[in-house]
Amino acid sequence: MSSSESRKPAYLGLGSVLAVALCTLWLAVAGHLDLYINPRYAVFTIVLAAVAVPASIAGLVVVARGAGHTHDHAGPDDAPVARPGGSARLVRATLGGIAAAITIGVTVAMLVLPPATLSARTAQQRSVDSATLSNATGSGTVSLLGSESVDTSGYGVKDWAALIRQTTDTSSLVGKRVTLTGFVVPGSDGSFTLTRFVISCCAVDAQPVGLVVTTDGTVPAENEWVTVTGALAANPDQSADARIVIKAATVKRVDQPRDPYEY
Amino acid sequence: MSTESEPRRPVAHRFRRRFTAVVLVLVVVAALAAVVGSQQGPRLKSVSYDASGIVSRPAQRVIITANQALQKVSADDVRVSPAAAHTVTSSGNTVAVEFAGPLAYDRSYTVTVAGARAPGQRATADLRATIRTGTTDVLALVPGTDGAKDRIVRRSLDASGATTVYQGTGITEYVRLSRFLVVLSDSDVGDSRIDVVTLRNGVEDPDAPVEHLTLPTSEGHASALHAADDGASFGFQYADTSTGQSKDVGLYVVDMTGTHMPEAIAADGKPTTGAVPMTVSQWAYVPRTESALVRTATDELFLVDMSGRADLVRLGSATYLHGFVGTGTTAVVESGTGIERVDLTDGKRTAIVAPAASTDAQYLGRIAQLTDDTYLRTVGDVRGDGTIASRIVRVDGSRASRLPVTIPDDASLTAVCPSPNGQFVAVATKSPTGALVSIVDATSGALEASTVGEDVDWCGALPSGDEVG
Repeated sequence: MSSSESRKPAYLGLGSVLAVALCTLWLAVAGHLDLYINPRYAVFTIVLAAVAVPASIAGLVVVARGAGHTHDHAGPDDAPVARPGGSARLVRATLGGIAAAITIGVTVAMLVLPPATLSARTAQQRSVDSATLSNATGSGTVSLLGSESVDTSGYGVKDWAALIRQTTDTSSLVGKRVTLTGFVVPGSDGSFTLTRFVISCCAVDAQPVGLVVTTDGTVPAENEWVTVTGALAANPDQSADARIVIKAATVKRVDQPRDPYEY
Repeated sequence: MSTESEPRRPVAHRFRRRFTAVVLVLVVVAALAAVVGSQQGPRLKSVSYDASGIVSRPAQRVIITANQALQKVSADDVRVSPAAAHTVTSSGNTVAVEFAGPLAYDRSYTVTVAGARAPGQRATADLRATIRTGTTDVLALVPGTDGAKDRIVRRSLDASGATTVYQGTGITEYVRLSRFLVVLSDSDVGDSRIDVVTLRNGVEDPDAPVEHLTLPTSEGHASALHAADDGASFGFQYADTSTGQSKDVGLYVVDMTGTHMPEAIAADGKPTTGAVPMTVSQWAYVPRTESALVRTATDELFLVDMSGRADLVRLGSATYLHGFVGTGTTAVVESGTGIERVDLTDGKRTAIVAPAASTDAQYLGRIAQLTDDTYLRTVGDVRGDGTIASRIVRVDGSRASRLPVTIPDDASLTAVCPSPNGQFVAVATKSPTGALVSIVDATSGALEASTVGEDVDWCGALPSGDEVG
């Protein structure tokens, strides 16, 4: 039996933890962490990553010094009888190799590829038109029915979409002025869906939420980021699910905002 | 095998056994939970609706929220009892049931979403919500006496007293436009002013400034104010009097989703700034739409899209516009051949049924159509002093009967306006002692409420202009 062979899983595990923790810290320092997780969890994540780095280094040091001294019974070295046969060892080695390759691949990809946002294609795959966002993900109670004095200046795409979905009298929203930024998911004639991704936890659970925009001008290209200024109006297409659309006064092309998601 | 009998098992082995046991228990618990979960369909979490809005305005929604996201719900899956025309949209965990017209007052409706299902799950459930509609309130204009301001008051039908919604001087007309009140007032010399008042809890919002609209010319006179049900625009007839004479008299529109600047409806039916406006004898918005039905000065009948998206539709001629059938898209017009219903979706005309008992009077007034085969008509006989003694006739199919509403001898009937849901009717009378509005049941004539005042908001749905007929 060789002790370096038996410590391999320990190296792999601790090494992976270290690599992921370092990547996370690097993303945090570079300011890209919010592309992957809700900022609400940023501090939590950074603290845990910061704890994980010294802890995994310490673990690696301990393993490297030799694991046999302390725990006589728990050490894998003490169970030579349980050592698997040749074919089992091969399977184990193969699985270990695949796991290592995936870990290294993901880590390298995280470090090498620039952090990217989800795209219009993803939005269509996750069906932005049907606005599947539930109230559970939405901002809960958005209540301003009938009152002009409620400040809606801070409302994002998600908030307006929730309001339109929840209001019992859509005509009470008609004429409200909005200025919203999002990316373009093309729609039918002269309209597109102004879309943002809403993140509850992290990028994997991102749900697209959108508002239909009608414009007399040209519809911008797919995936382009635009700022739309206009007023809410009844959808001219009365058969559509979206009862309220933004009637755009201006559609201005803009750069992708630093934080492309809503939370 | 023999491991149980060994007095000291290796720690690793013991750990592995416990680990396996824990995992097994968790798997069993999770599997049980999954089975139980998959047998349960979605459940109703909450229902939201506006009890007073749902009886007073068309296109009101009941929002049904389930405890989990739902597979798309189609209109066929939703039943409403008692039956009411509706459309359905669903997204996420909400189902919105939108009623075409206002519901009946003070009544329970059951809305059932049959076979609701969460995406990826087999179990279905019926979501059943019961809603209780409220009563309505009416707005009326109470002219100020002895220099006091004119007031627009709100009178609730189930409580006494009236609250002042807005007050100003020289108010001649007003119209409710979603969360606004558009008020038309005249100065002493007849120059008009249009103010857009923001409402909050049904009265003027003290925190929001009143928007004073810039009219097409420095001096002019506005009248025949109407607003679209969807809140997108309002329109009025305007005469430029800046030269001392009335000129460019015609229809103007204010787009609330645009610049809030009045634009003339040009002869081609499109809103065009600075154009010569289309002439108007009578007009009103078609309920629930942004289109207007216009009778021009030459008695031509047009359907005009006030948003300018659709082209002008010519509907022949008419000598008088009576109104619309409920809050639907059928108009009742008078032409050379009689009184006809015009389906505004295809232009087809059908003559209305007018039993002899509804036409045997010297004076035949306006028809207020409540449903497809029910209408009220004002008829009257000329008294000795030349005034008209009016009565209201109710026509049900081919049967005509007198609506038992007493109008005092010294009073004259000025308007009969059905409530948006056709259940009640506002009867406005004028007498030497003042103006009075009585709200009566449209079937029995029973008095529900009455208030001092004139120009009830229910009348805003009827075509106006120079009244003839």
